[in-house]
Amino acid sequence: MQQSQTIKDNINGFTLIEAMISIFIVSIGLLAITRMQVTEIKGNSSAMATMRATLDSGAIADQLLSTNYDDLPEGPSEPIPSLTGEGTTTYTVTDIPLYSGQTCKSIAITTNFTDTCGNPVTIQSTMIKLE
Amino acid sequence: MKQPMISNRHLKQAVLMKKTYREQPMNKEKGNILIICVVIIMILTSLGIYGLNSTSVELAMSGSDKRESTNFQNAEAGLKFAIAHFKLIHTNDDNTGNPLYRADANGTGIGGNLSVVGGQLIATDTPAGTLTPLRDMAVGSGGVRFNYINNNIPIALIEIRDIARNPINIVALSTFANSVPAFPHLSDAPSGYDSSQFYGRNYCITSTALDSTGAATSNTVQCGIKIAAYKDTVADLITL
Repeated sequence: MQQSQTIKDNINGFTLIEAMISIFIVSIGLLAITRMQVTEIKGNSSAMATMRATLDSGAIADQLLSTNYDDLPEGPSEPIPSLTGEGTTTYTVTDIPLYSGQTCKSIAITTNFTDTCGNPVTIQSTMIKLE
Repeated sequence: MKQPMISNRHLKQAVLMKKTYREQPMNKEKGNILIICVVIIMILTSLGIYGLNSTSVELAMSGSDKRESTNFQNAEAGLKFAIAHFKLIHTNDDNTGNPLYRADANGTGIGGNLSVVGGQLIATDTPAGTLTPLRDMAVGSGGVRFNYINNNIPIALIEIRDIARNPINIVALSTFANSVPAFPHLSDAPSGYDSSQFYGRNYCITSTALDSTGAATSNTVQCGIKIAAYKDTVADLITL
């Protein structure tokens, strides 16, 4: 009777240790996977912000292309907020004198976005507008 | 005593049987939790790897989208810059009497760096020698190339060559810039110009966007340009 009791006790203890080890291993695995998820979310939000900033920058460039030449005064513009509210676009107009007294306008477009994780995304492009 | 004796040996056997009876299922279940854990972790890991994969694809997509958009704008800007300054480029004159593009140290180059600093167009390459203006280069083999840099930001590599009936491949220009139609160089004067005094001269502008390090990208735009030139200033029209 004594011996049987001891064996039963031994078996119970082994299962407990085994379960604890398993929980330990699983939790380490889960931690790693959580970390992966964080990286994924960061990457995705950065990708989304880049995409939106690109679209915004292109939209402003198209808008400037169709703006009247005389409606673009020299100097930096007011920051234009994006539709989604994640950032702003600013353009700076510089007049370049040409040989015949005419000018052409060099427009530097800068789009500054912040993704949902707080990382900045900046896009710079230049366009030339002819009279 | 009629009752059967339970010998010591029998008792031992019963205990052993009990032991085997109790231990058998435990032995079978021993690795199960571990296996289940490993399977769960593997499933979660594969899901995580799938997610990471899609994230990196998405990052690459948005990154190349951004590059493509910026490069396209820059290439367009280079094209329009060349159109706006075509007279200066054509005559190799920066509007103050100085050459706009110069030969390199060997005297053999066909261009350099053109910069716009504070709205003023200046040549920023080493003044090693003067280069024949594009206007006076032999028809069929005349071309220049230079970098357009706006306030220290590289914008575009601009290559200009003439359109001629028998265009000769210009080694210093890219394949894109050299792929021009075989078409007469001279034509009637553009509208608004007196055809008794002016020719129309056909050129092809190729603009390739530069990235922030100044290296050429794969975004290239090309356009043809027809300019009016005084008949008496066309110094060197050998093969038409």
